[in-house]
Amino acid sequence: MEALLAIIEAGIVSGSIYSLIAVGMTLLLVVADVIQFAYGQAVVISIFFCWLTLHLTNSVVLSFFVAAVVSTVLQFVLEPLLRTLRERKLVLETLILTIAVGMILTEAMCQYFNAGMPIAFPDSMAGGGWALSFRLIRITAADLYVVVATVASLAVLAFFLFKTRQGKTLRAMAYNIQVSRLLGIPIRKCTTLSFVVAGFLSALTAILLILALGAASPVLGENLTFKGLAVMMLGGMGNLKGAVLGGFILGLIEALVRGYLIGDWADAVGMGVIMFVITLKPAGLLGQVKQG
Amino acid sequence: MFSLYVNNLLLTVIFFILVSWACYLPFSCGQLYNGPAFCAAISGYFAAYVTKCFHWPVLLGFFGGIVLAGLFALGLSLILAPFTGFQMAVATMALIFIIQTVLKNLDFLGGVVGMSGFPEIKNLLVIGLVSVVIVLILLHRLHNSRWGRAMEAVDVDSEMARSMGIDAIKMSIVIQTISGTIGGLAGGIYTFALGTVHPEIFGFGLLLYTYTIIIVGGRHTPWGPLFFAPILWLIPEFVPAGIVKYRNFMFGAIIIVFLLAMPEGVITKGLVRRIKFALVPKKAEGGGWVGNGKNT
Repeated sequence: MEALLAIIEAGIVSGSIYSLIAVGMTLLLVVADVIQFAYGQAVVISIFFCWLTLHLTNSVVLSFFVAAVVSTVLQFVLEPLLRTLRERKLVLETLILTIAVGMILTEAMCQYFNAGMPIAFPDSMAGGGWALSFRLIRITAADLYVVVATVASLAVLAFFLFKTRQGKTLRAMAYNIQVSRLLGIPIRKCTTLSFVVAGFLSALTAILLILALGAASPVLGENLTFKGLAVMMLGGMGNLKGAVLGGFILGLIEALVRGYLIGDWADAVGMGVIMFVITLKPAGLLGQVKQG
Repeated sequence: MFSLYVNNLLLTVIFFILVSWACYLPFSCGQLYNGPAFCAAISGYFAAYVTKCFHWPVLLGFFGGIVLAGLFALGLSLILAPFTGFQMAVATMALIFIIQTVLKNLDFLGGVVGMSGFPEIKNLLVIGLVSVVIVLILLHRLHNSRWGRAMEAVDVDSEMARSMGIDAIKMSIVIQTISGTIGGLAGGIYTFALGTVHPEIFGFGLLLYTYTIIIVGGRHTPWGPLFFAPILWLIPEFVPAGIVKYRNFMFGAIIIVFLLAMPEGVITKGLVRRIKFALVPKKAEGGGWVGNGKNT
């Protein structure tokens, strides 16, 4: 029983990360009609910049700030690249462009950071300091930060989308872009805003990953993007609630597999379960809002 | 006939031509189907395993791998056929992921290290060249047939195509099966060319090169991959070593530039038509060209 509780705790922590990633990608899909295959890579490269800043300046605050800036700026810079193809409704080409950007970012991490080797952060950053232990169950400060920050950021995002004027314009664009244009909503500015919001979410994800994992490697980005996409499909394309639910489900599945199966089967089983679910219910668990 | 180095280079080019064609086919009807990557892995591993461990005749193992890849693609297509463009892309990427993880965890297939030490195929280069010719003829005939026009209609507007009576699901099943089989053929050739097979060979890195070839070459005709696979793959062989290490950057940058400037690629349908009209003599004036051959 304790083992199961420990596994569930681990699943909730990783599920929080997956939910944040999926929510950021879903936001880009519903507002900007873009499936960002480079999202995970943007998160991880900002972790690498954080590591580099820490090594150069020894300042944790500055390194977190740099991670946040890099993440946000990357998303902001990608928007104009994608705009031409989006406006011409070239869906597959947009996908491929983001795949290419993701691969360039991965290659940059392999070539220019720590000779392509994985990076590690000091113990004081990874794990977040104190930990509560009860037999097999160990809850670190980082685990709490991850879960609390995820819940808080989702609450802030919900407030932004439902209670602020800018948020309502984003929702209007997600609902019907033609009518939004007719109503005078500045489409380009709002699309850029959605990329910036996604950038903030990816910055937060990067910081939480540093606390939770304390390490990163160039291939982690592909992994995260992939899981974000799979979670989007599991929850329902364009469905923000589905993204959150799907993230936690995937996190729990992977934790259970890691806990009870020998070998490195977590990723394969997680993906397999998602494939099984979308075969039975192609619209996802909560139904899709936007088709791919 | 050729040195070992040139032989392997040509086989690698043949591999990229075939795998690009395998991806081009579903792409030309609006689907981002990454099945050729895992079909190539299935074919390569099957051929390596049966020839090494069960001492099957080499050619039987080679063709058996291709058949297995085709059957796998067919079975999977029954599930994937209704998927939309994005769902197809993610589902097939997930399958690459799943199959790589499975291969890494199976010790009898060599695990992370993979397999080597299986027999060679003599005249593999001849088999490769013949395969390219056969697949080119197949794709050309398909492209210029009723099916080819239906694929084009689905690419332009799948809803309209369905309402005009095109069975998009059946088409998707057939296209995915052909694509997976060609991918299996490519995988078998590459496995025997390298003399080794491991899970990372047929992974996401392969997709970068394949998409570059298709995007640059042109995604609406099979001629694009045929001409641009050798060009893009052989360029790094002739540039200084200091630049070669930036190959992945260059490929990524090339994709971005071409997608923004020339999303149709270099060899478009219009270009092929113009070349065809330039090469084929014109009909006599006054004879006209009507569908029933009668003079107007």
